[in-house]
Amino acid sequence: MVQRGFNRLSGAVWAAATLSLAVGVVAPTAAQKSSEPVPVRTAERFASKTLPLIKTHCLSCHSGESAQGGVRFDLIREARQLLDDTQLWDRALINLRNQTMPPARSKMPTEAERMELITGIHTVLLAESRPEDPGRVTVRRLNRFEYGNTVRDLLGVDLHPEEDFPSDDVGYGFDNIGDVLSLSPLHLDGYLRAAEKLVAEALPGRRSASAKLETEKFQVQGGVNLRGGQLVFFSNGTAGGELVFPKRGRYALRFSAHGTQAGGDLPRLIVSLDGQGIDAIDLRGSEENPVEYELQLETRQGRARLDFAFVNDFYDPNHPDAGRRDRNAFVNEVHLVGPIGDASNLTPLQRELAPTLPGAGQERAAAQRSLRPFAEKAYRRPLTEDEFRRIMGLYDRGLRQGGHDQGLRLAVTGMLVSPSFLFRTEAVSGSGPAGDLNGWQLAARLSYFLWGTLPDAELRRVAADGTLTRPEVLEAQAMRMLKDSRSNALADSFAMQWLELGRLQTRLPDPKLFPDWSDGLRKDMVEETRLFFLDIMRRDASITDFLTAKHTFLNARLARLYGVGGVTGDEFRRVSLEGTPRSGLLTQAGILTVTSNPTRTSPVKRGKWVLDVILGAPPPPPPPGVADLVEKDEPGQQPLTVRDRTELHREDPACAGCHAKMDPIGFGLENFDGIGRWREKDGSMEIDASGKLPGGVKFDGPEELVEILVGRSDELARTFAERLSTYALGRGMRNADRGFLDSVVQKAQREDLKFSAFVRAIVSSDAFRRTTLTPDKKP
Amino acid sequence: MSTLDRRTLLKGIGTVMALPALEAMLPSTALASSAPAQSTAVRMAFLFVPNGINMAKWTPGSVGALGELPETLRPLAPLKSKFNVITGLAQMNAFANGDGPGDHARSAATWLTGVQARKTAGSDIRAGISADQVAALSKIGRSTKFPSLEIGCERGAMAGDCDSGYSCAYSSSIAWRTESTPVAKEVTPRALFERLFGSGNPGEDAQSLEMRRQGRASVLDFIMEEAAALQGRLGGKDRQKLDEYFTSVREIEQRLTAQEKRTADSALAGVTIPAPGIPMDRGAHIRLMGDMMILAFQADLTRVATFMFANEGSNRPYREIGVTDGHHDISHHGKDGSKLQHKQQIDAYHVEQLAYILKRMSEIQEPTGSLLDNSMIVFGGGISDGDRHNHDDLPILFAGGAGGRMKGGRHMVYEPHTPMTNMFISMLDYMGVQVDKLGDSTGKLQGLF
Repeated sequence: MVQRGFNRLSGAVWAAATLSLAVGVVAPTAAQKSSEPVPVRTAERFASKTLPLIKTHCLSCHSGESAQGGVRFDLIREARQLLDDTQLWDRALINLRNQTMPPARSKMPTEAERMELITGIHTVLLAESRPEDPGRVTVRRLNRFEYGNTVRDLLGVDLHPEEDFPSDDVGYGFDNIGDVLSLSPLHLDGYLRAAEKLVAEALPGRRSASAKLETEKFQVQGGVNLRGGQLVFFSNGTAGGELVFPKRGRYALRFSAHGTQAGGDLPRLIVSLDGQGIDAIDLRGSEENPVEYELQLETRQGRARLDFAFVNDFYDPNHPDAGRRDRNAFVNEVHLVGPIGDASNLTPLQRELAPTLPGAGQERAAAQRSLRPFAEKAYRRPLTEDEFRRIMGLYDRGLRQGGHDQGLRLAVTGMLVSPSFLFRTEAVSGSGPAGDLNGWQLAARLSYFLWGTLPDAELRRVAADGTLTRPEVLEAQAMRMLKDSRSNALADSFAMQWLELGRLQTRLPDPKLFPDWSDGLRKDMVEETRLFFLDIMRRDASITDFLTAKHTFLNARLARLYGVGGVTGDEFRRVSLEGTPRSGLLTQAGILTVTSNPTRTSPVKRGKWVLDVILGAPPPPPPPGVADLVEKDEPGQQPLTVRDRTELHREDPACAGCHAKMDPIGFGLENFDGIGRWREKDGSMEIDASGKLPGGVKFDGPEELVEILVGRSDELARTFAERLSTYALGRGMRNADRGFLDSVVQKAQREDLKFSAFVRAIVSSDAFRRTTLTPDKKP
Repeated sequence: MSTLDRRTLLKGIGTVMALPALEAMLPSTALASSAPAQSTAVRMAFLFVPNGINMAKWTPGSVGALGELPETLRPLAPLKSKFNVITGLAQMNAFANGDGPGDHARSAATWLTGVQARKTAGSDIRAGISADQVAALSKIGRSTKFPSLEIGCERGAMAGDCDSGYSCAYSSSIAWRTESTPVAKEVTPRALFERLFGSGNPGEDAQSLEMRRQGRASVLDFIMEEAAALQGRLGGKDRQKLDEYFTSVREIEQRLTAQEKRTADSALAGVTIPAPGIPMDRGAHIRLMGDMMILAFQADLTRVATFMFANEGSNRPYREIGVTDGHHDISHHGKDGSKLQHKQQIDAYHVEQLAYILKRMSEIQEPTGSLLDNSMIVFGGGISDGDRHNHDDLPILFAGGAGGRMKGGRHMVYEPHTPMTNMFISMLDYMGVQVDKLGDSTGKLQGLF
């Protein structure tokens, strides 16, 4: 059985904290001495009120060498001992909250006693949350998602080289955790190759539109023949036609021409546009050796007539040299090039770095002007002089090798594989235990949190002038960014990981049992949940809508699966679910499929998903060596439903404790089959979708289940705050973050759990705006 | 060493292309006659399968000369003289030893390292350096373009659902460069091909190729300086992350220099470039990745490889052979007959792919025997019975002649709980890499060679 670890703080624990607010738990003050791990008053209260309750209700099982589950509470004498194993006490809180401990056969604590246990333990655990320890984030390598977005926005090309990168390491449920993201030669190989490909695309060789004129269609007057496309002037005459200039601007007329020589003058060709002479050319060259000519012309947009005229025909039939008797002119292929230097022919990066090629000797100065702002964007901070000198060093090598453009190419390639680009570093200097992040560091945190990419011009502006360090500016920027379409990144990256939908990629339902299944359906399922998440975010609804919303987003294929009529085509649209048993995430096909086995539903996996993802109270993994469900019916016996088999499994006392929490939740969803279709029967047997949760709450069917879960919205809020903070900060939550998460939930609760309230509370926290400066202990 | 057949064709999907242009870093003087300097180089590969093995159908019934092969090993019958089945090896540090559940994560993390992996969901992952990486970091690795090759069929887990509080890094990696750095593996055939043989444009001329080569050298110089400057400003864990970066740059630089000395790119004339994407059929995928591992050995691009047929704990169904339930689900067979049978089918399917790889290696002739004769290929897993999750009595098969030293065709049975790391010490020693200890090793594995 695979599942997350426990060292994450859980929603259930946090729900307990909400209750504790009434008794005045506040963040510890700076006056508190760090030598004293638990404030004196907290310790006294624990010793006098909480500890006696632990002794009364827990010690009969949890004491001595043979303590149940190896968990001993008889050694606890004072509050500070709780901090030695906060994970254990987190679990204790979950069990108290879920009323799974003490077990039913024991003498039960009264409700007031239970609250005292929860509050007393939580308050002690809160002692580690100190303002001088906002936490520290290890340098973060850009993950695949961030790299792809960043190079797209930085270079303006859409190549997606990140698709070939190795997958990112995952920690605490997310793939953007600095501690965990590693870098191997395979990565660097990928970055080098990607940088070369990207730069080749973003800074290609310069080109202008060039068109060969259809000279064979020219109109002629006088002594001109058209031999194919060649203009042959055997006597004075004119050949010309109409040109179309797509834009106003400078163009070049390129052609090769030659003459046959006779008499004292060279053959003269007059080139004119709309009757205005552009140039008079005296033709040298010969048939074997024609000369290339280029004429520059300025023109307005539109049509204009181009004419070539041969004006000095000469004929001396008596010249002794037969090759010098007849003066003629020949014009071969004619090309119109341009508009020259027009930005529309340039790539976005060329426009930014070098719209025109600098003149000789001017290259280096031009490169300095354009590369510095580019480098600030790429590194997401101002550069030191040394850093910029190194970049210019790379430019110089390229310049020597292949000119200005090559210099730029090399410099940009180098930056794209520099650790300053690939890693998000936050060097903060200072002498205290903690320091403030500067504007640039905040800008990068904001933009990678909300957009999954580098800061835009507006963010760079408030970073550069330092105003972003003001809390009200920071919040305002966060709200601006949340409204911007780029915050779709939260749905693409955060939501997919929080809801574990990434795993849908590897789910392969049995096609014999689920003939409707297809890759297209898989994509639709992901899209439904993505749009649903976005909708809540865009409406800034309460996060309880994740459970209760009576609408979703469907296309025809998914609507067919749901049995909803009137939806046609591939386009998704908002569809009401009123009058159906579906509501919110729990009844969406993607979630129901990702928590099923290939051949059947798994109430256990569904229950575990809800406990973990929604309530933040993941059950422990099963002990090794336990048998799985019996898959086949015994011959001659009554056929069993998945529910029956799951119930059988729970007869084993070793399993019953945890499965009493998980399985009933899954039973409530049994009306949805392994790919989320509604069903009344499992095989030939009627579905029983009723369940009883620990503590005795009963329900029947998905709608009543959702109602119960909504009643536990505190836990949902805690879980959501904890997951979103992990994603926002790129680090796991520690016991010391308990106070920070408390405050996020309180602020969100004051705003009815609106989506944006969570974002605002996180970005305005010390955890987001400050960093612990004390160096890491060596692991 | 004979030059390789210019029309060597990789089997598998893909389109035939002309000789691919060399990557920027390859010298432009690829000569058909240039041959790897060392003709008797011994190669080493570790091929991993997850979720244990149906041992009843794996372990031969008698000790000594291999008689009739057990059902799962039957695809290897034509190669019987080329491998030994080794029974009795264990990775005792993959057991819980107080760390609770997480046997799948530990199975992979311990398989080549022999150490107890630290139980953590993320920060401060820690196992130990793996046997293949010991070779890669030695002169063996330094003498080829790639110190080692890490390949597999499944990316690391994409969502946070790792084994019982163990980071996903554990169950998706067997190669560990340092005790805190698992080595990422390549799973896309096309990307592996481009990494090995370059992705240059066939029409690229020598001048532009040289420009790219010089450009890359400049860029490597540049990023080395960048990293050094940045390192001064960072501390603690940040510095560790930057160390990974440094190591990677050095390896690539080293490859650049190694390549100046020797090339065997002529091996590539007429090879089939794999199509983009990942084959749906697992067998085809394994064979394609195996083909490229073989080609890399053949062209002496590397002498060390690890290959995960699947990640540990993988729950992929094997529809190719009619198994519709997930592999992990099945491995928890609870002695159920049909699950045990399905497990055996998957095991045999993996062994079939192994047979394909070994057969191809046996067909490639080198001056001193076949490529297989000059290799040491270890196939197996870090869990014995998928239901019990035990890490002793491991299923291990040792193929290849180890350069003429290894006698095949035997079932070798060691004392229960013999450290598997002892076998690694022997293998490394045989390659000329002296290591006193690896993980829980207690010495060499007697009687192996």
